[in-house]
Amino acid sequence: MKSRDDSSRTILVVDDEESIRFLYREELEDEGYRVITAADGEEALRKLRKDGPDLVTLDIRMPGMDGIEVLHRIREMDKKIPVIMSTAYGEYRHDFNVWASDAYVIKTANLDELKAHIKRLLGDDD
Amino acid sequence: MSSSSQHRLLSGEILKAFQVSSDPQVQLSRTAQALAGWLGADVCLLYVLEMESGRFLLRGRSGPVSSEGIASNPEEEGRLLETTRAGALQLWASRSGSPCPLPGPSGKGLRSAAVMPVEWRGRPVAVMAVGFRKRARVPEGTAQDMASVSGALAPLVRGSLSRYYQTRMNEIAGVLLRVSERLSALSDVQACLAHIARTGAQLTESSGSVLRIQGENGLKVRAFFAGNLPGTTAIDTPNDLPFAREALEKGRTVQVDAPGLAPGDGGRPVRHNLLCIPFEERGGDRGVLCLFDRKHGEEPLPYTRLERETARALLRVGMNSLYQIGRENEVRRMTTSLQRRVRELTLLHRISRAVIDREDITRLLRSILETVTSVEGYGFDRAFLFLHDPQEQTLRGHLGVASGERLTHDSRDGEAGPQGPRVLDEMISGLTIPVRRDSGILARTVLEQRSFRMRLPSDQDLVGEEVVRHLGNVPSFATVPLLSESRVLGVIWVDNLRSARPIEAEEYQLLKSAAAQAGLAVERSFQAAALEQLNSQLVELRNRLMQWEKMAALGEMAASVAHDIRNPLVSIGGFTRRLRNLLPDDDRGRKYADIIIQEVNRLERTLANVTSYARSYGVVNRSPVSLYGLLSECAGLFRENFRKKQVTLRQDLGRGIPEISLDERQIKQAVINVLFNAGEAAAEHSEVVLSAGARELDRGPGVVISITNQGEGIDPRDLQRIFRPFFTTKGTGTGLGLAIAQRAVSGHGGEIRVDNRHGEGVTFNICLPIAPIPGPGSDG
Repeated sequence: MKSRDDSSRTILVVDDEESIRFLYREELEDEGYRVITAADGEEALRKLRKDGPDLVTLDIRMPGMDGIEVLHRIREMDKKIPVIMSTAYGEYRHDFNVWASDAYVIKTANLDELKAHIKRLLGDDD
Repeated sequence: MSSSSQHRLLSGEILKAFQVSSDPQVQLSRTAQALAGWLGADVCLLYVLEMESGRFLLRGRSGPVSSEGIASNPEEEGRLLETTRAGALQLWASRSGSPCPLPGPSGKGLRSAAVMPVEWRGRPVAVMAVGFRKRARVPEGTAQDMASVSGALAPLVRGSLSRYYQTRMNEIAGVLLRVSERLSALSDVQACLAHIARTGAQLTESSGSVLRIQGENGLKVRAFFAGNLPGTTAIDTPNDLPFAREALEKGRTVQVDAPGLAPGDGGRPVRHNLLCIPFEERGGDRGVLCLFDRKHGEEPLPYTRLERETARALLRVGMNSLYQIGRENEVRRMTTSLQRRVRELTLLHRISRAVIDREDITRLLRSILETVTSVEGYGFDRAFLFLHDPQEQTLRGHLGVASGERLTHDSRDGEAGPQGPRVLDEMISGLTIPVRRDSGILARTVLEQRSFRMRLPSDQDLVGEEVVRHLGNVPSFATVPLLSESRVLGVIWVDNLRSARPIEAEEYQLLKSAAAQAGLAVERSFQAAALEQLNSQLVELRNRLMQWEKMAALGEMAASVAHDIRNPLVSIGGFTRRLRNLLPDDDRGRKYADIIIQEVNRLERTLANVTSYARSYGVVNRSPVSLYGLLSECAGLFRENFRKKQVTLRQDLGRGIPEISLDERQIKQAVINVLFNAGEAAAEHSEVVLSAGARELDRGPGVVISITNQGEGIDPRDLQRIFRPFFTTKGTGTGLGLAIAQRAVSGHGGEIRVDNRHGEGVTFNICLPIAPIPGPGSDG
C-alpha cells in the first residue's frame, strides 16, 4: 500500500451511484492514488478541466449526459488521458463509440481487474 | 305213350320246378326239361309273353342254353304270335317245305315240331314248342299231352311271373332308393363309381362288374367289383372289353350269354355271361357298366330284361349323383379359388397399408415370405429375402422362412411370430453375392430388374455357385426383384426344395404382385421418413426461433435488471471486502464477511451468465487473438479460487499455439465456464489441467483447448443433457454455463467433445477450427 504524497496520480471516478463512487475512492486511495469523483457528465468535464487528473473511470449509463458522450467530450479536450469504461453492461463493449476508450471493465465487487488496468495504463505495473 | 301215372309224374316235376326256385327262368327251364322228357322230344322251348312289350320271350328251354339266348328275333316271334292267334296246336314237318316255327338254332335239324299256345282266361300268356329230330311227324298223342299240360301250366306261369316280378321290382326299387341316398351322400367320384359297380352286381345277381370310363386312351377300368365271385381279382377280369367297346360305339346294350360264342368278333368263345350297358354322364364322361356271370348256384343264367332295366335305372341314379358330385366339387373348387383370391387380396391390401418405419418393413417382408410359404397361401417350401447394397454392389442374405413356420398374425403385430432361432435367417445371413453378370441368377434379377422362374433343374452356372452352396441344388425356384422407383431394394427367392413341385404360373404371378406392392410400401416409407425428417427439422427450426425470441426478450430484461442489480452488488461486495480487511485475523466477523463475498461472487456470476446467454445469439466478432494470452488470463482468474479448494491448476500451454481469429469475449466466457465447472467438480487435493495445441480437426486445421479434472466424472445418464440450458446438478447454478460455452464454440464452427471417464474425471475438449482471419470491418 502506497502512502499519499504529492507524486501520487489523480484518478477521476465518474459514476452516478454514490456508494460506487465511495467504494472506488476508498479502494483506489488504498492503492495510493488521489481520487476525485463526479456524479454526472457535467461535473466530470468541469473537474477534468480544473484538476487535470491522470486517468478517468467512466460509467456509461448516467442521467443526463451518458458516458459515451462524456468520452467524446474528453477526447475533444485531451486525446491522451487514459479512460476506462466501467459499466454494468457488457453490450457496449463492441460499440464503436467506446473504441476511443482505453479499457472496458464490467463492474464487479472484486476490483482487481480495474486496478490492473489502471496500473497498466499509468505505467506502474512493473 | 301217355299214361295217368306219367302225367302225375310230370305234374310233380313241374310243381317241384316251381317250388325249387322263384326265378321264372329256372322254373321254366326245368319245366321244359321235364316236358321234353315226358313227350320224348329232342327240344322243348317255353316262350312267355312279356306284358309290357307284348312280345314272347324265350324263358325256358330244355338242354344247354346257347348264345341264342333270349334275344329271339322279331320275325320268329311274329310267327309264334301267329301261332298263338290261331289259338290251337300247330304241327309242322320238314317235309312240308314250310319254315320251322321254332326260331333260331333250336329249330335247326328238326324234322317235325309242335307249337301250342298256353292260355290264361282266354288270352295267351305263353307258347310251348317241342321239336323232334328223328321223327318225320309229331308222334300221336303229343297234341293231347301238350293240351293237357297247357291247362296246368298257364296259371303257374302267370302267377310265378307276376309274383317274381313284383317281388324283384319291390326289392330293386327299395335297393335303388337306398343306392340313390347312399350315392348322394358321397362326395368323391371314385367312391361313387365303386358303389355303382358294386350295387349293379348285387342288384342283377351278378358275380361281378367292371365300370369303364372312356379316356384319351380308350376305355379304362375305373371301378371293379368281384365280391360275388370268389377268387376273381382285378387282373382276372372277364374279357368284357370288346363287348364294352361295341356297346359304347353303338350306344346300346350288348348281351352275351355263356357258354357260347361271342357275337361278331369272329365268334370267339366266351366263358362268362355279360351285360354291357353304355352310359353318359350329364355333360361329362361316357362309359360302360359291364355286369358278368349272372348265376343261380352253378347254373349260368342269361340276363333278362329285368336285370337290364335295373342296371339302367341304377346308372340313371348313378349319373345323377355323379353330376351332383361334379357340381359340388366345382363349387368347392370355386370356393377354394375364391378363398385363395381373398387371401391374395388380403396380403396385397396388408402390404399396401403397411407403412412406415424400417422395423415395419422388415416385419412386412417377413410376413410376405411367410404368406407365400404357408399352406394356406401358395406353400412354397422356402422363401428368402436378399437385400441389395448399391454402394457395395452386393446382395446380402437377410431373411429366410420355411414352409410350416407359423404365420405372424398380422404384419403390425410385433410380438407374434415364430419362436426360437430362425434357422433359415442364419443359413443365409453369411451369404453375400456380388452383383455382377457372371455371379448367377440373383445378380441377374437385380441387373435386369426382372423376375425369373425355373421349372427344371438348372445348371450351377446359371444359378450361381454361391447360391447352390448355401441353398442346395433346387429343382424349381423363382426370383423376383423388390423395386422401389428404379432402385432395386432386394430380391425375393422362393423354391420347392423338398417337394420339387414346379412353380405354377398363378403362384408366380402372386409373388410378383406381392413384391410390387412391397416395393411401393417401402417407397412410401422412404418418403414418409423423408417427410418426417423434414418435419422434425422444421419443428426444430421453429423451436429455435421461439427460443431466440424468448431469449431476445430475456436478454432485454436481463440487461435492464443487470444494471439495477449489479451496482448494489458491487457496493455490497466491495465494502464487505474492505470490512473484512479491517477486522483482525481472529475475528469471527471475517468468516461472516467471507460468506457475503462468496455469495456476491455467485450472484455476479449468475448475472453474467444470464446476460451473456441471452446475448450469445448475437454475431461472432472475430479478431486475431493470442490464444496463449487468452488462456493465461482465464487461468489467472481461477488460481486463487482453486487454491481455496486445494485444487492445483496446471497450465500446459505450448508457446506454439497459433494466433487464431475468434470472438475473444465469447471464447473466454466459454473457457471460464468450463474451468469453473472443472473446479467445482474436482476432487480435493487434485489437479485441473488446462492445455491447448494445434490439432488437425475433421474439417481442417484447428486448435483444441482441453480442460481435464480428476473427480467423479459425469453420471452417464446426465451426459446427454449437460449442454442443455438450465440443466444443473449443483443446485446453486443457473445451468447456463455449458450451454453458453457450447453456443459460443459452435458459433465459431467448432464443437465441445466430452471425454467422460466415470469415477476418474472428465476432459472437455474445445475444438475450434482456424478460420481465415477476417479483414477490417468484417465481423465474421
